Amino acid sequence: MDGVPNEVRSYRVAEFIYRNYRPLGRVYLYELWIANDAAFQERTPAVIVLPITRKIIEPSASSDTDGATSCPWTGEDCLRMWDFVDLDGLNTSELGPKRGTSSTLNLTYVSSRKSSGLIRFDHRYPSHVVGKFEPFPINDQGRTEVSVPLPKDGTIGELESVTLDVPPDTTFEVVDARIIEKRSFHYIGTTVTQRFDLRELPYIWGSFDERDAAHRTDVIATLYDDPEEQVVDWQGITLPVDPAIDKRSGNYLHIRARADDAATVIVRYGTMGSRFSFNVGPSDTYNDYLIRLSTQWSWMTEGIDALNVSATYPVRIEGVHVRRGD
Amino acid sequence: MYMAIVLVTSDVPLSALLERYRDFLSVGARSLTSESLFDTRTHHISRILFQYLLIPSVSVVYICYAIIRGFFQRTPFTTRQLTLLHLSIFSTALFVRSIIRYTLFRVGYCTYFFYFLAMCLPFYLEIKRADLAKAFFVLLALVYICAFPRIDILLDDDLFRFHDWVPGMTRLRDNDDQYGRLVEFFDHHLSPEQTFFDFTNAPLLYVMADRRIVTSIPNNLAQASERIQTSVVDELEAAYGAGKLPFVVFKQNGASCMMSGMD
Repeated sequence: MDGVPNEVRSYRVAEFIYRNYRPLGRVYLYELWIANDAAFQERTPAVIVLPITRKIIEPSASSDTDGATSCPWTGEDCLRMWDFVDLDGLNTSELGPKRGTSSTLNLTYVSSRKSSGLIRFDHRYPSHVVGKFEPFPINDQGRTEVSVPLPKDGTIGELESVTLDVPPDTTFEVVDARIIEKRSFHYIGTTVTQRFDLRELPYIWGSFDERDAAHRTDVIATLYDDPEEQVVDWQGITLPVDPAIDKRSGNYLHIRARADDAATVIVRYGTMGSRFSFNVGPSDTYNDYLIRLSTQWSWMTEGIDALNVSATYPVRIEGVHVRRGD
Repeated sequence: MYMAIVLVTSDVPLSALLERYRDFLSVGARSLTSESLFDTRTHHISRILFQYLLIPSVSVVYICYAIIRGFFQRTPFTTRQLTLLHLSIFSTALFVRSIIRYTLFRVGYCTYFFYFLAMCLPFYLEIKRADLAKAFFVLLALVYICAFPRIDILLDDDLFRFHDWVPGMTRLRDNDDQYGRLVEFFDHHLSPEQTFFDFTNAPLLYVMADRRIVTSIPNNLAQASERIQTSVVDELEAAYGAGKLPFVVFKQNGASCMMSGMD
């Protein structure tokens, strides 16, 4: 929408989260953070063991029940095991609200030859039955487990039958069949990398803030302040920081800088790879640039002992301060 | 419709207004209609009529029906019908304001709630028979196809999706990949009185998860000013202190500057 990260636009909200929550895990594309005082017990994925009704298929099997048939999707002969698992009484609601659509059929088998097979899932709807095919690899290395995803659109229809096709001249024994709910939650640890491209925002905050935070807030650490300007380019400079710096009310990084040509300044710190970048426009005078450091988790939780400042083109720096957040 | 409103309310002489409309239809709107809908430079007039006349005219139906029902039949509306009527008036006002304020030379085209209102017409008009509702949707599709002569959309396997609804089943169907797994997670890990805080600009997530929103302003994009941020933090602290807010949903590195996954 506006290209500004939530953490910067709503920095007070972000700082509240950093003080009271910690990263926990990921579900799909989303990170989940948990309250510091909350306990978490990951739910054990549901498992439904399916009774096996037909255990072995051999090349000599008759075609009435199991056996040789023409596979319509390949046009070739194959061996087919009809309804090789018993689905009577199967309650897919045990597999969560999505009723197994994020689950897999795990099949343990022994095969006499290496090839590939097909599993057909038939779902019954009120007016019709829909069959979906899922291929799977077959190897001849003894007892093997293969995981086949259940069709995603089986939410409403009930799973009615499962059929197995293997190539002819194959002796195939089903050892075990079970439906396993797919795990969607994954732990991520507490390392969170945030890279904010703030573009012109530090200049606007430094120069046009009605509260004038660039001058009215307390300086709690001076990282560079010298009448002799420091020229920063792509090689960068490292500025030591006291790791015990006061972060309780948030912090700003205040940089006074100017450049002859437009440049992008990059501020790196910590061990998580987080960084800020922003634009410095050409100017004959020094301007104030203000970054809310506490919008990043790394700044708020790590003991930061240095900031590295670099630029895509030479930028002249007059002063660098850490200020107390207002 | 907006032309009619301007005609009635404007101080500009009628002849001058009509000249402007002629320019609009012949030149201005051609460059302003949504190019992304088309792959050629043909059908400009169809586009103009559809976007600036046909779609906004949905509101005319809403308002006319309200007048007939309210003044002649004297039959009360339900709250939901009144909400739709409100949206139609709101959309019309913004549409007219947008045209007057930005003229026609504004990049982009906004449909406001007109498409939504068009889809809700059977409900608003209390067409409860399923076959009539289907016929209405087919009519809408035909109008669309007449305005934009494309047959490829008819060949799309996903053009119609039919579901057999049973009593008690939610009518809201989501994108399983985007929200389904999160909803499952919350169903299992939150008690009925607990909820979460969405920090990804996806207020739709609250609806899908059927969880309470603890902040007065749910959309993170609007949580920007000092005053609003302070009030949001106060509300979060209250819910957090009461143990009702065990989780926050996050996305990193700018992926959250879109609303519910849409830019």
